[in-house]
Amino acid sequence: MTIGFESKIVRSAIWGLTAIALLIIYLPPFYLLAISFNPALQPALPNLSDVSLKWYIELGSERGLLAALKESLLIATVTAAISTITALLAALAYLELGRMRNAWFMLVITPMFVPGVIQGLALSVLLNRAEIVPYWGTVVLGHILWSIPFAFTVILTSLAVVKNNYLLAAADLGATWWQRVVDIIFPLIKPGIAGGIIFSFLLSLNEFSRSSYLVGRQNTLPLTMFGKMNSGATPTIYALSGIIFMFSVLAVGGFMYLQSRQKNLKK
Amino acid sequence: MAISIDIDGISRNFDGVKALDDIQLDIKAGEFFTLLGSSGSGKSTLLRIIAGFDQPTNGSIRFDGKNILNVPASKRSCNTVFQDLALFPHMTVEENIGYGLKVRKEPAAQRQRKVKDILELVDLGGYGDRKIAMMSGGQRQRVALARALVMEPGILLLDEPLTGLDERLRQQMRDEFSRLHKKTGATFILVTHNQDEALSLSDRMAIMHLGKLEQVGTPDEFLNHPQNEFVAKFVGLETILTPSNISVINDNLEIKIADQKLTIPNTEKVENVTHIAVRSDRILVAANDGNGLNAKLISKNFRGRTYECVFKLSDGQKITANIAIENFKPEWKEGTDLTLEFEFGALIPIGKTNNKRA
Repeated sequence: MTIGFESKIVRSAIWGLTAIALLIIYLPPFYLLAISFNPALQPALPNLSDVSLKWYIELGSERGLLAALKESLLIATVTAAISTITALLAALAYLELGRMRNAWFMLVITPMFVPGVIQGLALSVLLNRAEIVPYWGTVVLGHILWSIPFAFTVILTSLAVVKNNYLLAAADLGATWWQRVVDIIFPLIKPGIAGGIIFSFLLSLNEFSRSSYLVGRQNTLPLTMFGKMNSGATPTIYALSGIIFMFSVLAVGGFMYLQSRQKNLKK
Repeated sequence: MAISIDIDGISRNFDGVKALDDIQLDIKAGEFFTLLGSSGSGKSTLLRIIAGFDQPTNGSIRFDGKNILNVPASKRSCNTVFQDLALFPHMTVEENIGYGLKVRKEPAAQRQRKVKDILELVDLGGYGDRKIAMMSGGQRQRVALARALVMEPGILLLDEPLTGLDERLRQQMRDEFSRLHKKTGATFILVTHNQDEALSLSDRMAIMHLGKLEQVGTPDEFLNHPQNEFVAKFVGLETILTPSNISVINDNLEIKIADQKLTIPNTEKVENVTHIAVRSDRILVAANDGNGLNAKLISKNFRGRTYECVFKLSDGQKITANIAIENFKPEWKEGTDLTLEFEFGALIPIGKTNNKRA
């Protein structure tokens, strides 16, 4: 990190800018987190002596929110499973491709850049044509399109560890394609697969625009929270936001940890 | 059991570029055979085709007489030690070595015994449960060798396995190859760009250049009877002289160079001699006129046990000679006129005909 030969002024400018950027990124969610521990009705920073879990406990009786949370967890789990498997297959296909690699990469990655509103609308029109009544499954469909490019990118990055000669060596020792995948590729890209699962799970859990077109009778969590905010927020919303935020940070932190361990293994 | 390899008219084109051009080569069972060449000569491509990692554009390869081009790499009875070793980083030493046996579904007890034996053979007893990352460069080399040898292959392919090792380890591993070759009796094929490795290890060797074989033969034949200038230079014969006149007299050649006459035996009966290669280690220097060539010393470099001296003939051609330090007189300076005497085998006639097959 230290840039030894730069002058002091340049270095302090770099550090200052970094600090400002980090503050802008992390202050709002941490502010929200702090508010969630304030027992007062008005959103404000709590005094240290006032810190309480009041809203977290009250969350237990918010049936609407809990039902939405349950729905979102179901959708996120199914999305994570399907996206990761599909992304893994797409990444293995990438390994086998020669000159077509870049085209394949663009093809898989492009849905990332299609605006959610458009993708949601398009899917809902199609499902309507097919006379499929929206339910959690239709939301999953939208979320898979959204999360596959991310899972694919994460897994592809981890595939860089798998040198082509490892696969040749395994084949040389008699391993079939399937044995090479299971014995060599899988163990080496485990962190990538974990990352794919975590990212697609979180992306699905927080997705809004696609869900709003594809949702059935039971709203997902972000939709319910948005509705609640519009009709006058209760502080339980802050508590729920706090839980989701902490969970997300922990999940990503866990992924980072796994990856750093893999790096140590390499050298 | 050692396996013989019959390479019959193999060509390999990459987008119109001929990496291999109609290669014809028989490698005997149990032989230590070296493919020597610089990068881009096609030696690695040929090895990859033998291993089954690549398919030739034309031609066929037979192991013990059976065509194996439609046999996948995983089913060929040859194993490879890769240039970068390609040890699996997530497995221990033991797991790496035992992997092929596991894939072959050998019973666990038998696997364990074989892994233990081969670890002893490569001098790594007790290192079985180490992580690959914890092994040194030389140890990894041995693990890679063990991983291939434990399969008891009929053919062992070594793809520049010594590149990247320091000189001392190189020497050690070289001896190791030689020992393991005798011990296992398998056919060894080594690919290298290092002529010392090739000359010191091989039963027979081939020099490759631009996808073709320049010469095939024993190391001795390469040193004493290189078929053309390229081969002579590649095996370390730096000095190649062009005489102004060559005449054949019985079994001898009489050459005229820089207005001086020399008679050299032509025991190999090389025809159409055009050049004379000079072995730098078989030259003696004398102060006054003797039976040799008069030349001027133009530079000398200390090389530990020898001086590497460059001499210039009156017609401008240069000769490099390695003179043992005890034979080098201090009064010889740059610019001193001296006489070069050639020991038996120092002058090697090179013919124009360039016989590609041997």
